[in-house]
Amino acid sequence: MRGDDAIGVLALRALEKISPPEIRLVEIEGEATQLLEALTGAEGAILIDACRSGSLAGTIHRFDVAVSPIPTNLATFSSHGFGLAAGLELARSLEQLPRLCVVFAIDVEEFTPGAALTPGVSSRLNELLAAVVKETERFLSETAS
Amino acid sequence: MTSKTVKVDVLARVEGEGGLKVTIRDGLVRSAELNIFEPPRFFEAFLRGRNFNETPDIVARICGICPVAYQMSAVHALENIFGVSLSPQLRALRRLLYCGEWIESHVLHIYMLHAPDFLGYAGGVEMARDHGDLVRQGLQLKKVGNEILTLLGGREIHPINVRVGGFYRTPLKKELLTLKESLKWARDAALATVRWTGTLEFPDRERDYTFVALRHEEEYPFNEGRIVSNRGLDISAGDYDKYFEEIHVPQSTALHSRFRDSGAAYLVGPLARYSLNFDRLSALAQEAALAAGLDRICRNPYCSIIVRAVETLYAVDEALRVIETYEEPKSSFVPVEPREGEGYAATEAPRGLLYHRYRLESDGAIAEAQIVPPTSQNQASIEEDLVEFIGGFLDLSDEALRYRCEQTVRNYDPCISCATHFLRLDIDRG
Repeated sequence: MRGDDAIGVLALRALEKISPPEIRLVEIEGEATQLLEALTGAEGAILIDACRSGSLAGTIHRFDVAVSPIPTNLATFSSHGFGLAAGLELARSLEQLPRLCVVFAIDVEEFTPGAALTPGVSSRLNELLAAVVKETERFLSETAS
Repeated sequence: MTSKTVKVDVLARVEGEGGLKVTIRDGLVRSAELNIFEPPRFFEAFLRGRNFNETPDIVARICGICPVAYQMSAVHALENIFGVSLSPQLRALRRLLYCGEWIESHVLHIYMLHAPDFLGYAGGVEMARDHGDLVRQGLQLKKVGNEILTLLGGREIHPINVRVGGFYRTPLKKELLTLKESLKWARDAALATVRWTGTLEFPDRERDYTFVALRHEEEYPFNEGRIVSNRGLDISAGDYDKYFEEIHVPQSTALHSRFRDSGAAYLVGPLARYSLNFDRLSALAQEAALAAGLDRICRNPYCSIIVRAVETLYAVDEALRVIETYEEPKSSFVPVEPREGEGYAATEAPRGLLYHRYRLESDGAIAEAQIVPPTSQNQASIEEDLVEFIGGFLDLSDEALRYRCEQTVRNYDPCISCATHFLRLDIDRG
């Protein structure tokens, strides 16, 4: 783990204990083709990732990607430019973006390998999980109707 | 004197951050400089004092696109110190791992990074809206490379199964056979990719490059061979530093490589590898290359997209051959004993020759490491391409000229996170 950068993985592990069985939890390394594969066939998707928006560490952002792309200032840099934002836009171009698709991004500040979450980020973990659970309930409600 | 300046903030579809400045005076391109401004990646220094066994996992972190190349050059250089030879099956597995990386890397560049230049799109995302089936084919083909890395390397990115002397775990025959069906599909898809790239329109531009690549007695090169050129060079990796040198240039925090005696630039990568090793390709790959319009030697860098497709086809073909002939080795590695010494190796990363040199203390600690990535070696050649080719495009609008400059750089699939980082483009017309 690399400090706050682990927030997505840690949130996923917490969700493994509380998520309903119809929700599939997938950990991906940020590579766009992995993301596309994970999205294939999904009715809805909730993505959790670390970000650097310039806001205080621990700030939680919610983006309804089904409506519009992630803001360009938060588009991640990744191998040959295909990070999360580009992967989602590629899915949109290929008509593989789920009907319901929300990204939760949390501002982070510490990336030292082996370091724990900083207090500013760890103190928001429960709030992040609550937001994800609420979104999950909305998805289940909408996909059932 | 005519005077004009064109400036672009972001050069897209390359790996990393940096810039490019093209200076034009009186209708002639006077200079082109790659301005790599992100701090160098101090991996050579990170490695000092670490145990040799840590090297494959550390150098894999240099690049998310070609980690296998870094691992392969590292383990071969270290094994050069220990004087060990791998069993034929361990050697074949290393070829298979490299096949996976070539497929992943080449297909990403062909479909998502380079094809938009030929089809007139800003990028792969935009191209996918109109060419969805084509992009899906590319993504599926790339996935086959990912599958090889996952099975043999332990995961898709930054594999963790490579060790000095072999692997931590070797696969069962039945595990490798699970790849066979997807590889058979991939062979057809790769062949279709060669045919499709051959239909693209290419600027009629050639240069008389000095090609430098590995050449093996029997095989298309991955991990072994002499370092040769089309101008008579024929040396072992141990003599690399006698013939090549890295120099610092003011505009870049990445070192440039040149011939030590003449100061001349040279070209590594698919064009060099293909042109020096056409006869080592599989029959299928040779036939596909010629049918797609390539000659046995390719000097047009814009046609590198076809050459990458041919090498993808070869990698799929070779992966199938390795899987079909694989026999489970008795041991997953050859034991090594730390000793003082210096070792050298060059392997063929997707982007070209990757040279590593290590000096070890008697307890196996690394005293010195030298890593020369292909993009560092190609930087001077990229600049020379721009000076020579862009002069023929000066009647284009600024936007079209800028685009052509970017395409000319992308011919190299530059991996600036290996050679440091890259991004920005200025065209100065005086």
